[in-house]
Amino acid sequence: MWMWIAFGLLLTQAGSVQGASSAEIKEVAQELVCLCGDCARESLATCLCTDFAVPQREHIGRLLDQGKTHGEIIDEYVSTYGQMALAAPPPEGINLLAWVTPFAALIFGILLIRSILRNRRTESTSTAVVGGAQRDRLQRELERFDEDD
Amino acid sequence: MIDFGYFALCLALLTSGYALFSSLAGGRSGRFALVRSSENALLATCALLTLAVCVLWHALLTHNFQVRFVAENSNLAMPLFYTVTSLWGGQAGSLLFWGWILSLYIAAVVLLYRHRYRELMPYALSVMAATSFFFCILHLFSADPFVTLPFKPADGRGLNPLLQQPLMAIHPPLLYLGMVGMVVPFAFAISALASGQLDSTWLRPARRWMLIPWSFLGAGLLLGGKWAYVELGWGGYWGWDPVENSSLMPWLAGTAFLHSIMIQERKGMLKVWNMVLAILCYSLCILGTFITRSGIISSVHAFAKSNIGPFFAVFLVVILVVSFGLLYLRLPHLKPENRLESFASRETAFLLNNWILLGILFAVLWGTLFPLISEAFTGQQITVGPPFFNQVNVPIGLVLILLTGAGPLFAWRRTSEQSLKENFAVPTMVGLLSLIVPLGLGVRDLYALISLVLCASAAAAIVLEFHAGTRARMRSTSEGYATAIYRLSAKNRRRYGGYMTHFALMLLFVGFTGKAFTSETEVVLQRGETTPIGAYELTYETMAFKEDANMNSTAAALTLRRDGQRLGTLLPERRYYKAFDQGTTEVSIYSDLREDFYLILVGSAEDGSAKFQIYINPLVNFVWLGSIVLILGSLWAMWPTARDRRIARIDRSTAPSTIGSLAVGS
Repeated sequence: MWMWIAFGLLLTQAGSVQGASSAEIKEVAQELVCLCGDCARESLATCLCTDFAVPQREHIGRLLDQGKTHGEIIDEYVSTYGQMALAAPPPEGINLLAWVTPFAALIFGILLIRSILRNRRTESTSTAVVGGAQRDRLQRELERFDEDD
Repeated sequence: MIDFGYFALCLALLTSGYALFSSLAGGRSGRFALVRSSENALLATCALLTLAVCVLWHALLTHNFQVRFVAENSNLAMPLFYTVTSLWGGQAGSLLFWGWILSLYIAAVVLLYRHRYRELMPYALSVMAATSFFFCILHLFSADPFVTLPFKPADGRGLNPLLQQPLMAIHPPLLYLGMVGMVVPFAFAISALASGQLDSTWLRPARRWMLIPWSFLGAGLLLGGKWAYVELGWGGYWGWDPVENSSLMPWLAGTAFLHSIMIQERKGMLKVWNMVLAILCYSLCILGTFITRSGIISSVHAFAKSNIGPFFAVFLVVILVVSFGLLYLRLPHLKPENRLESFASRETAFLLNNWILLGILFAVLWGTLFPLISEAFTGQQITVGPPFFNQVNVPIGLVLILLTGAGPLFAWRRTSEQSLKENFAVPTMVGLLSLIVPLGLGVRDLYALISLVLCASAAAAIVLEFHAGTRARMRSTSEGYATAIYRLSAKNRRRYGGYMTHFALMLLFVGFTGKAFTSETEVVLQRGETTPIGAYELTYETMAFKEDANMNSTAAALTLRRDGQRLGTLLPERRYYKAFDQGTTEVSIYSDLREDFYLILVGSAEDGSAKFQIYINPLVNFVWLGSIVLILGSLWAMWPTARDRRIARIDRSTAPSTIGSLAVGS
């Protein structure tokens, strides 16, 4: 136990981060996941694994101190650990599908509903005897009688 | 004693198998005696599984470590409460618990509908019996909780420390009650298809039995969020983890179902669609179980990897083939009885509601399964984590709030332009006025502003709906405001319970919006040192160590002040559970309605300094408030109405001797 806490701590003291604020570190870290192997690839920004996430966040802080940009740090992680290090798939190649498909499905859905509504409406023959406002009032009166079932 | 449990499971396999056979035969031949016999067999299954669960509980409480499940999931040092809850702390036990809940649901349906829905009951029984039979196979052949070890260990390993938390003790049972219960509406849907009773009769039992598991699932999800928030120590309550997603998906499908059946009940439309939703709900529960238990997608909810995955995969395929096969055969008989009259109608609003709910469902399902798809194509492992789900679901979620607010403002059939104007005027005004607050506070995040405006408008629309109904009631009766609003809501529980859950959703969304403004800091403090954090001042006072048989812990004591006023002492803690060689984080939270001050102890150094992580989480309490309102609203909606009670009374008075021939096939 003491080893475990001390370990996290030694790293804290080894090369402490100077300039980079924890908000800047988090901004980079939230695009990455923890790869300690014990947790289920939690966000690197929030994971508390002392053997990976905590020291890696400090590593990111030191890289930021060195003047590396956000993109450069992410690239460094991808080249070291592969795409698995990213918290979300990059929108390129086959992974573009991940991002596009949900919205494509939504558009497909709305077109489907539209065509259903169109068909149904053209087939229905409106036999409006009462005017809109009257019918509306009637409707409201009827609603009042709605019983729960 | 343990042999009793195993023997009970063997008998349950026989009784559920017999129930499946006799209900099918009864459904085909129309012989009532066979159906009754099947019902009795299902009651016997329930009794047998109850016995099996009791035997396992007995083994846990008497620390019978000869039983492998007991040795792996409990130990002598654990408090009594967690010894009891460890029944669902491991694979085999939780499946037995699952099967038991299933049998309880079935028994409830059997006893409640002894004299009702007689045309639907035979095949509904078959579906439920088949599910029960499947679980008995699992208990006996794949995840036997009664396997004994060749020797009796002196002590067990104990319950996973992450689960040693009161919320975690209730969260799984609630989820199980939700996931398992969805078999009942599914059973009635399939029964309607199989028996050809394709009118709206099946919707009545299906709606009631959807509302119950749907509420449990919602409560389970939110309690799980609360657990993650206080136990996992990452400052959030929802991580889009595959297992969380697995229980969110049936809830979304259930929500869609509860809305769209209203169109069928009133207009005789969407018959096919409602069948699809009932099938989807249940299939998603099984898919979720498969994802959770097979470990095909990595997750924080790692159950022991086992051979259970293929069982669920096969079961899922059988469900899909049988249900959609039956649906296809009955398609010609599922024609809509009515046509839509107007775009501007409640019907269209419900269609759009289904569209957006299914849109979110699809996005979640897609994101959850995408790692498998991508790996199949590229051979590279990828992670689909929170950034993906948030970016995709936030815009869709905003449309959901809009529709939640706008939908109830449309009348059935058609809404005139004038009444639309009237209905939308006040909510729109309230929404726009509500902009002043976040803008004044310096909020410039577009999504957050839209979300808050929509939530305020929708909440205003709901309040108006209650108010207008109450005023109308006061005009026709001589009741006071309080009496009128109570009677109004009690007379139409379904509608007003629904509005309450809508209101809850708005509170939840306000809470979710707060997530956009979370701020986070890490500080290293020496003893006695004070640091400013936002509007707060935090002083690190002291550190204490504690050790007992179960764990040892390090706890820090800090004083929190705001504007010079002492708010209290915070005690963040890290624990180390020996039996598991695992650490847990016990966060300490100072909470008011505006925001949470969320403090984590990261570690301590030999020189006495300690490292802390702090999250300021604005509006997070709206999530918990929304959760409570959601549960109350669902309870309100499903509470038996006067009519239900009348029917039940008639049922009882006309009942012949219900315990007739106890024909149990074993």
